[in-house]
Amino acid sequence: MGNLRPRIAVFAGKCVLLLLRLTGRKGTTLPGAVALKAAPDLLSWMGKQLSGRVILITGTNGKTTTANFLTNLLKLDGIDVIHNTLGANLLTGIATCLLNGLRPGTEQVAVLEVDEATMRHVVPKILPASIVVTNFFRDQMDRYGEVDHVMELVGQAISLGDPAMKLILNADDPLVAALGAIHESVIWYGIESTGLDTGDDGDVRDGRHCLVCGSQLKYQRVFYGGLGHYGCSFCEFARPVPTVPIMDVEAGLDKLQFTIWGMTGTLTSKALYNVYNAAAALIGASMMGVSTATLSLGMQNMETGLGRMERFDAAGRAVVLTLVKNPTGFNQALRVLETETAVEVQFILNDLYADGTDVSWIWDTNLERVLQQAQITRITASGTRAFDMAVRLKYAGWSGQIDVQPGDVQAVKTLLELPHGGSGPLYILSTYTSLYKVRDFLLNYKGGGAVAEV
Amino acid sequence: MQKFRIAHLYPDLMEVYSDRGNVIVLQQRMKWRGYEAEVDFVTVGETSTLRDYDIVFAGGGEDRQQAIVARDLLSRQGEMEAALQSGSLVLTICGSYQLMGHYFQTLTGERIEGLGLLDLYTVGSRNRLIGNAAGILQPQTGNGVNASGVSTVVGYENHSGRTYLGQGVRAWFEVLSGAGNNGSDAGEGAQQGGLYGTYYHGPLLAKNPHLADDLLQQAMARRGSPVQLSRLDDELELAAHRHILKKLQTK
Ligand SMILES: [Zn+2]
Repeated sequence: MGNLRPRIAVFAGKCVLLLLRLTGRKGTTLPGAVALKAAPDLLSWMGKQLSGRVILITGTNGKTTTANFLTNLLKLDGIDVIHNTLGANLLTGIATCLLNGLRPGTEQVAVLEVDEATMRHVVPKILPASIVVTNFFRDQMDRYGEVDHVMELVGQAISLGDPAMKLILNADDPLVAALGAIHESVIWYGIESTGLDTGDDGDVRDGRHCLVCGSQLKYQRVFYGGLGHYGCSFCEFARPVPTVPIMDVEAGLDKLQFTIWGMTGTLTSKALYNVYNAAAALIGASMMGVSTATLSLGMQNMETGLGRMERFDAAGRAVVLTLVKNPTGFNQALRVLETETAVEVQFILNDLYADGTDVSWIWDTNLERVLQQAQITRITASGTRAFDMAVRLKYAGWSGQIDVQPGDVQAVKTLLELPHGGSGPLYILSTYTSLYKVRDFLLNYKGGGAVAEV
Repeated sequence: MQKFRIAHLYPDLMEVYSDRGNVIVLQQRMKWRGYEAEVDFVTVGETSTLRDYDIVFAGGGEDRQQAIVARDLLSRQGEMEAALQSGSLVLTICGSYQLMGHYFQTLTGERIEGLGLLDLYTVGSRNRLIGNAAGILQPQTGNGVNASGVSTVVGYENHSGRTYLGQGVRAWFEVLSGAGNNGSDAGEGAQQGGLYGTYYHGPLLAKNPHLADDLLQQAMARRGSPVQLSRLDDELELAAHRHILKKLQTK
């Protein structure tokens, strides 16, 4: 009875889960922690139950959105999906999610977003059929260290996987492209053509030097951050030719349009990075056997999900909420903001562990550009580091009033109750630890200060 | 009016700790005072005459980049000395601060030569010293308590190297909170003439406007005629400064 112990562990974990539910809590990590204690090889056992039907998604930005897209596509095809919805992407969160959803003996598929540093603990146990790597940007140096180190960790994880495993890699990111050298089977995706004015954002480009020889990379085209069409000025390292090219990326009113495999899809988001997330998800879905007809249907009006450029109607006021956690994502959100008229902006900058305790990165954002280009009518700086944000805005050249409102939900409430001059929407750019709180608040906001019970 | 000129060294290689914020702060504070303030980027292989600049700035980078920068910096040794001689102010943070010393010895025992302009050396270690940090300006360095009366300095440190100071150099700050140069001698950063170095980023000058002005004031002195920089409204900056001090106190 070699697998008795994992089964007991599952039982123990489920008991904790039940207990937490009875006490009205969500429990995204504790049950997994308990079960892992009871049976350290729990993940291997779960991996066996799901053999050939697990896709892991990792990378700096876009993990959650890609996982959401992929889950939606699979569900549309009638597939039973296990998915760590709340972005609990560390070992205990992943164990909890599997504990919760796994039903041995069925044909379930698991879509798991996994933290970059956690990958090497998950891959050798779960042995996924496929791994998506979205991109590598500088992110939360206090936790992960330098980008090079994060790449190494992911590379190490890949080398611990099944040799037959398929990698789904972003060809436009030179740091991701470097992973192609360590694994046989790779599906590359990348933007082949777009009429969008992407231009150089002045973003920090973590990948601007060749990883093979250290020479400068030459870009024929930059989409954002270090992503684009590049090649080394000295050696042969260059952008891989996409196996799945993304064609004709164009902007529509409040959406983006793109073509993959000759089929045109739309995103209910104007942020370019979501095109990459959509492509990775479509490839993953197709690998899991989702039919072309379903893919074609599923790529219409793809929704980015919770707190990712999510639109709300807050008692008649249009509000857009999005997660920001590093300069690249922040700059992309700012690009979207530029397309609005008479917009109000609120930045919620926190420095708790999950946000990253070092908030220096706000100085690498291109606020200078957005303050010139966008029609902003009001700016509020909030969060635990509201003053840092205010100082950044001041030095970026914002000459108007900067409202400093530390805190999150209360600050949003205050702002919504002020008479607003413009007709445009309110954009809330928030770091992780305020995101879901603010989201819950917005969902239940009834105006006039009244908030329905959450 | 004469231009105020800032050289930003290796902005493409030594960029990971958002140090460019320091350059933005220096430039804006001069602009707000009516000066024409210009920033030039200087990177590997490019020729430059550093003594033409009022302030020369260099930030921190990743190990891979730091090795490239070290080679290039050594080729600028004479230029750097000439700049300091002419009264240019040189501010270095983290990685480039280490390179101003005699050498950096990595964990694997490899020795990266520095410029030796600061009498100090650095030894790599396994543990990173990470977190919000605060120090107090050493009054003897001459730029101590300024017009605003603030003598504390706040920043964020994130380094694995331990830096040890020799006789010819003194610490820039005395550690109030955090690890400082090496976690043991209560000193942070170093100053020798017009050359400054520190591990504090955050960026350093954004939340320490008094420090920014001290440096600017010193850099202006090279022009001969004494210039008194006008006061700016630093209410927001000092609120951010106090927030960190309070946060460290209540920890
Ligand atoms: Zn190369």
